Amino acid sequence: MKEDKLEKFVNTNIEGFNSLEPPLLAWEAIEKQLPVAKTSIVRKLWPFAWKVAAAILIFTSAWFLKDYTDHKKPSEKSFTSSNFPASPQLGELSDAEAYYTSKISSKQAELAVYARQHPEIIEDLKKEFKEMDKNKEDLEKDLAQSNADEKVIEAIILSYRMKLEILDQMLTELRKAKEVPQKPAETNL
Amino acid sequence: MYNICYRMMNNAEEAKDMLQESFVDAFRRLESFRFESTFGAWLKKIVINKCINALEKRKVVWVIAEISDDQLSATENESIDEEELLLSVERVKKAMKQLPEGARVIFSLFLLEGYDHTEISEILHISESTSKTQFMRARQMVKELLLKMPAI
Repeated sequence: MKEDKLEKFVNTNIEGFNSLEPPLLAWEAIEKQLPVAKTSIVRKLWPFAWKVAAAILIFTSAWFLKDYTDHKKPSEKSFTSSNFPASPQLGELSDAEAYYTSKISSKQAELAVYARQHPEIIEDLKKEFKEMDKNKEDLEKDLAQSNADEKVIEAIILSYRMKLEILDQMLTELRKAKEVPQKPAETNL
Repeated sequence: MYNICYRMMNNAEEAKDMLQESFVDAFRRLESFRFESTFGAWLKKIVINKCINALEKRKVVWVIAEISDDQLSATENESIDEEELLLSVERVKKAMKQLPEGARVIFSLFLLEGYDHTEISEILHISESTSKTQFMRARQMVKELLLKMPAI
């Protein structure tokens, strides 16, 4: 059957049809409408609280160590101070980024255990995260251009939260799936 | 996802609303995501259903006019010379904007969102053959609009 010229054109130029950027305002409104999600995240994070505490401790120790080292180099210290984030929101963002990055890494490490049994799920996740990272890179560009707009900061944090939620969901499902075949094996012993 | 909303709603403000509502829905329903598809495909389905529901509230008609496959292919073969079509992304987008709502949605779902006619029939609650004929009709309309459009 002869391929339709219009269909062929659309298929080969699909990127051009997806070039619109979403308006920033949307993220702010989404964030406002998520009280339920916020509580559920807290609930889900609770069992891993000690890991979070450990990550924060490591991060804080590293920070103080850096500060201490900087004290020993006066010339560098003055340079760092002048470049310190002027906006408190940027400081919050860097804290949130450190927190979420460590959390996400720890979840990804947990997930790696299941990689052999479910390579397809891990592959899908990689694709999703790649896409999300691409979107986050765009947001980071927006952040620089918008002079640290609060809405962009919220959108970046939301993207981290989304990743964490996905990892949590995935781990819960995989743990459930793992529990089922394990039971008969235990009885055999 | 915003591009999907914009294609479905044909209006920036409504597209933004649909995107917001879809993301909120997705976040609230995240626990129901069962990894049967990719997260992107799951989210896309939520976005599309949200837009379809909004359009249905506006009483959008998915079927422009019942036409048989024979009638449609006869008209198609007669009227359009494929070589005459001047194609560019902007021109096709412009033509799509001028389509009746139902035709635009079916055209987008099949050609841009990558759904097949079985899936479209489920999404829009129409038969598979209606989805096929309506898509062909929409495609024909886009071509006619492109032919009428000035070259620049």
